[in-house]
Amino acid sequence: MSVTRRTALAPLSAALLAAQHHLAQIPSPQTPRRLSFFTPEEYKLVERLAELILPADEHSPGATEAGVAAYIDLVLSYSPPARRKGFREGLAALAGSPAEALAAAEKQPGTPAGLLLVELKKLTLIGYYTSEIGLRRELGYQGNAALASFPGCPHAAGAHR
Amino acid sequence: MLSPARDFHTHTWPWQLPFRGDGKPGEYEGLWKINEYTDHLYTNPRKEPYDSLDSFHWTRLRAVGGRTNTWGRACFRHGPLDFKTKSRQGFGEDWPIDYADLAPYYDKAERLTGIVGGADNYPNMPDGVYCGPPHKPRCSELFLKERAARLGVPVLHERTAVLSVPFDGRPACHFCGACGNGCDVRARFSSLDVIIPKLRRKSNFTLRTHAVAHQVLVGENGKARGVSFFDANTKQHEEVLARAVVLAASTVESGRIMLNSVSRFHPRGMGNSSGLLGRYLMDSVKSGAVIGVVPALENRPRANEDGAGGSHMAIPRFNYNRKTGYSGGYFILIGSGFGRSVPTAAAPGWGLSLKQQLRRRYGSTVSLRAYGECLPDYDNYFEIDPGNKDAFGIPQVRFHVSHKPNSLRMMEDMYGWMEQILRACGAEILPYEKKLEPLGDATHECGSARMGSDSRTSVLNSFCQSHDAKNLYVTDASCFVSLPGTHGITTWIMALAWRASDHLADELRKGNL
Repeated sequence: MSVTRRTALAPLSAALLAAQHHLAQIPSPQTPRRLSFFTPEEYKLVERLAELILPADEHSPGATEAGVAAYIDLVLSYSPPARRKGFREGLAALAGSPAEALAAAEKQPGTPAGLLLVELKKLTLIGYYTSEIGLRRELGYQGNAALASFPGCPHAAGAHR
Repeated sequence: MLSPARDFHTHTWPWQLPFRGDGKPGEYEGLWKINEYTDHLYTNPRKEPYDSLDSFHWTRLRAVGGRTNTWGRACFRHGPLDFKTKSRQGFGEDWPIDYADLAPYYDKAERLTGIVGGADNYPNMPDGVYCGPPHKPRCSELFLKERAARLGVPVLHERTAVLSVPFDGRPACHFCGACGNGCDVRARFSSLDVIIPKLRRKSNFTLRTHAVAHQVLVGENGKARGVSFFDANTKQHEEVLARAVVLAASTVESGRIMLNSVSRFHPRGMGNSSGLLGRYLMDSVKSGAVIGVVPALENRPRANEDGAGGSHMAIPRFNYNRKTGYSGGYFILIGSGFGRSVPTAAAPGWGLSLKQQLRRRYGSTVSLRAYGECLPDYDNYFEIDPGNKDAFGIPQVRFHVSHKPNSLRMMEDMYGWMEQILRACGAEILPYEKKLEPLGDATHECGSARMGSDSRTSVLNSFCQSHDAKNLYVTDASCFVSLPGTHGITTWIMALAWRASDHLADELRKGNL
């Protein structure tokens, strides 16, 4: 039996359908119907801060379009009380414009604002690079596809690029 | 039974999962095989707890096919030295068999499984029977191979149970890279996809699913009489009677069943006259990951490098001709290519510079992780925890394990060499914590019903047969006497099980049981 594209794809689409069925209830990350943790004001602030951490450029959209704030809202809503409290206090401790606040927070490690930046950056990086925008458009990930064969490295010895 | 198309999240994107694959905060942290793609398959130890969760990671996949549904798929053979660790390497204990006893069964197991790999002619790691060529290496793997060669460190093709050609009615891999979540087309071996269909064609085979075995029944002569189990759906208690019983429930679960099978013939548990059941528990000594950013691999043109789910090349044990301060050896796994995970550690600042740095870095990182020999130690063991019962009322086990001095000395060597190899690649090494993962984390747990020729110092004989009850066999990794630093133990288990099965059939025919 030889594997044709057709035979490789047939079970694949069955799995995709199954996965899609499984995930049908999950709201799209870009459009949170309602917030689970943040107040609307906090949400807007987090969205702007995340966009500052990973901004849009000519290459790809930034954290806002990738739905990072909604992801952070969801994660925090399932996080232990201490983490939620710390995040909220950190947001409240920020002063000035979001850009000024981030710059200041960077210089104050260990303070509520400094701790917030560490946490916010971590969550923004995860949320962004696990989004379709971050993984496929920004980084150019081409996997999760069916190949008839794996090409391997096309380069001569000593010239792997 | 699991349905591959329905139950395996092989083509799911991270953004299709609410927590992007990680699961709810804290739910599976530190349990590397359990994540949002696989949590419906595994038993989460935080939900079904046992004593000493932090010192031993006990990974259970309670479904037909067990952990072969999501296994690591590496199948390197173990060699003559590994069977004679005491007499030829000066540590541990010798197996009662030689490599030569097992070699024909390795052949059979590999022909059943479908292994692809290279003819390496490497010391103490005999070549296998391959059904197809090895998977073609990624650029980053060939780059690493060239640089490691400068240090005299070998890099070989991975030998893996993922098909590179159609075999035995199964298609070749389509390189979606998600084998760790299962496989929807049977391109990677699993018991569910390969063995069960063959058995179901036999008229004398009955598969009873949702049966939670908890005791071996004992007859008036002290022999096994059958198995006692709960139906997982009805919670009803049932029994099945048999001329012979074979336990293959995975190491800890088999030991738990035997320890829970107390009778007047077997007061310390079935087959435990030696008192060693549960003792000498081993698992591969697993380091953390060391990640290097390789400038020569930055800004590469993007390509689909998912491949056959994991590395296509690996570093075998390479310390044979070197004097070391520890016993045994280790191999090193390589992670590289344009994968889904983005190493964000130690990327400073925020804004465009951060984004551009991570874009440049993507596909240029090489991650190394070592898996080392574990020495059998009497003081690493599990036992029944009488105060802790699971949902069926079956007494749970508790673990008493720790990393012993040899493992800690080996760890120093592992990290030293991983750093050297990355430096030979010109890599900037990202900050890491030098540590060993908890035992059990490598999911190579074994050795707690070791085989031997003396019933006072072993639980099973060389055919995985109980010294105390001749019609009881244990054919998972419980029988292991050593656990070398060679990649993969699954075909080793299969070869031993095949040999045990031949013996069992012979003994039944002869009327010896």
